Amino acid sequence: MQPRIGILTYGDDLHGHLVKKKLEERHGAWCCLIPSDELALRGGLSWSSQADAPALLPTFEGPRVDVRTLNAIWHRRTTVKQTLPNGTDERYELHIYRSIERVVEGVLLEEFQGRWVSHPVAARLAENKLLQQRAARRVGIRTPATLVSQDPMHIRSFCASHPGAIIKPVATPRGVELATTAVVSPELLEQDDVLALAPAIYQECIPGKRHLRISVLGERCDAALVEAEALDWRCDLNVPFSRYRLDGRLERQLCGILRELGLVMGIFDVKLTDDGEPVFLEVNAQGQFLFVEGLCGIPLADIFADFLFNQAKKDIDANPQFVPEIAGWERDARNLNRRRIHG
Amino acid sequence: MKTLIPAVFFQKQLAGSNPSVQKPERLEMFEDELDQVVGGVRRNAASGGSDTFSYSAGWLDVEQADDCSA
Repeated sequence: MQPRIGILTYGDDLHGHLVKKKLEERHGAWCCLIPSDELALRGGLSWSSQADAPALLPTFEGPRVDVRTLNAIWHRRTTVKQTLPNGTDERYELHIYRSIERVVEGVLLEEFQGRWVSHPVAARLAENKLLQQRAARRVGIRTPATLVSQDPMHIRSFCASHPGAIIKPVATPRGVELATTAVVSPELLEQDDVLALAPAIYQECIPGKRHLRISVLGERCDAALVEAEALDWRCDLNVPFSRYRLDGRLERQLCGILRELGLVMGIFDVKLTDDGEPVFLEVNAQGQFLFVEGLCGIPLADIFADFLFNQAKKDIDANPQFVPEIAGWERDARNLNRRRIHG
Repeated sequence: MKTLIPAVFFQKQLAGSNPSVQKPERLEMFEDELDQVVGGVRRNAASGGSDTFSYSAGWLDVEQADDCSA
């Protein structure tokens, strides 16, 4: 049976479009892109409590897809905001955003029965840097001494104990200015009202200039070494990028972190001390990875497509009697009548 | 009245604005290649409505937020 794969992401997300193309070309898989930011514009969300009723989401390609027929979903990017049709009354934007968000969430969690990459609830929780730190410690990888706080007294005390401490954001939502990692300055520590406005991460600074950006897909790890003096190398990519071979212990630890967090993939940031000890900084459940291919040649788009295809295959292999009634894009999805049969 | 901003942005402001950094040439080339591979399909994403609301000004932009839910 031909694997059927859905990619939930922004309509203009090239990561999604490229992987879709790779899936079709390399594996002959059936793949659709569900544009999470264009659902108000495209319409077509539909769910019913009636038995055998299809669970429909719009696709970038046009026709709607019944999510019950998919073997795997790459749950890459969701958003509460939407591209709205011209003429929409702005006063009702939030109502529209929330309505769509809740229905998409409900349709997927209720009706999709294939393989998640990764499960949205796990991915949502895994964005929490506090939970990440705990998961990393559980698998035995070093983590920097960390304080997450908006208490000026605690922050000053922590920074006094860790000279050169850095500050970084707890969350990195889209649509707002990027907050970078920086060394905490004495001027900042004097600003009680600023420190108290929102919690931030204060962390022991790990010296060194060797950073690792590691894609972990299932059990496979692909690492790039980034040699940069800057604490936050993302700000200037004109630095050496090269493929880096991880030792087995670090690979097992990274896979262990994914298991702790309930993820099947993650993009890790690790720093190597001058002694070569790896220090876990963070993991992004759906981090950016294509730029790494562009900068050091690791074929991550191919690797990712293969991974996604194998996830879909596993679903098929686990449910050999399940045959979705699909006649192609032309068939009206309302006519679908299928049940997953667990052998 | 003083405008309050979160500590991470306060620290960023103290550091001042960085001079604009050139994107590496090999990344530019890679971006062009991949744009051709997908046939510019992204640009048609929101036909019939306003611009897409993805914030992803640069699809390869490593500075794009990593959080998977906005």
